[in-house]
Amino acid sequence: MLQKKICMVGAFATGKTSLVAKYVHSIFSENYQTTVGVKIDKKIVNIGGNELSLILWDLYGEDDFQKLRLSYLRGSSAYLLVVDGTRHETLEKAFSLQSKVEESIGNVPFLLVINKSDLTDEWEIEIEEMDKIIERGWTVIQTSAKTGLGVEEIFQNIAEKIMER
Amino acid sequence: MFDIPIPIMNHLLDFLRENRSLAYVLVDKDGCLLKWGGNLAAYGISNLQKGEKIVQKIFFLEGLLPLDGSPLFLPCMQTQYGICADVHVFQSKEGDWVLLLDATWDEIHISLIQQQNNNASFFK
Repeated sequence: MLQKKICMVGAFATGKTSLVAKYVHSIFSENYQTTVGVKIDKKIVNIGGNELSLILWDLYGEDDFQKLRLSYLRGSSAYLLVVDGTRHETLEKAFSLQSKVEESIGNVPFLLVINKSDLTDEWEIEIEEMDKIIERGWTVIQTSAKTGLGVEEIFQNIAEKIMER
Repeated sequence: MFDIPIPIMNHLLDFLRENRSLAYVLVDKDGCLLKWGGNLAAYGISNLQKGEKIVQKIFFLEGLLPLDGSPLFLPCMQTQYGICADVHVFQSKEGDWVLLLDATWDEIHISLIQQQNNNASFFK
């Protein structure tokens, strides 16, 4: 079976691990547990009648002390840039990470995932700002690892982008 | 290059074998398994067969092989088996070696520090 590696990239506590846990294991926990290094999971999706095995690399969230280790990105077919909608600084971090990732592995498909849509009352990212990002040609999808909103969609969408190449 | 006395080499090897669950596989340039050994079972890896495609058995190697020169170091890699491993990948004439060393102790201690740091960031 065809396998493809996808990396989850973003600032710390944006919900990368929760998105993978929801998608692969259908579970969600309110407790925040930081990721050290990388957690790897696997899920099979169906794309146009063909099975594709997604190897999901959930990388630790970048912060002041831990910078993105580029060796983790090697061989990625795509990546998800994850932002916490309630923390604007995580969007700025996503922009800088996107440049780093593209410099490291080239122009592979990616999505901007704005997570925590169950907390929209607390969001610090305006619709107009998202529209500007979309105008740049980026695909932006809102998710909630808590409710499951958009979770299947991001992985299905990125798998389809991989297969289109 | 400095010489390392054989007793030190042997001691280090014993230490890694006993405390870090040393395990390895050797893969050819077509991604087929040539050799394996050590405590692979500790990482949930079993039933390997010579000549089989390694990414079908050790799925986290997808995209990593073959190496194109520089060695790779992937610290604290957790697979679905729950064990955290430091993964080293390096080349030789025979093929690419993948070396696994248990990093559970590091993972537990780093996560404690990292968790406190990240929690503190929320209150800044």
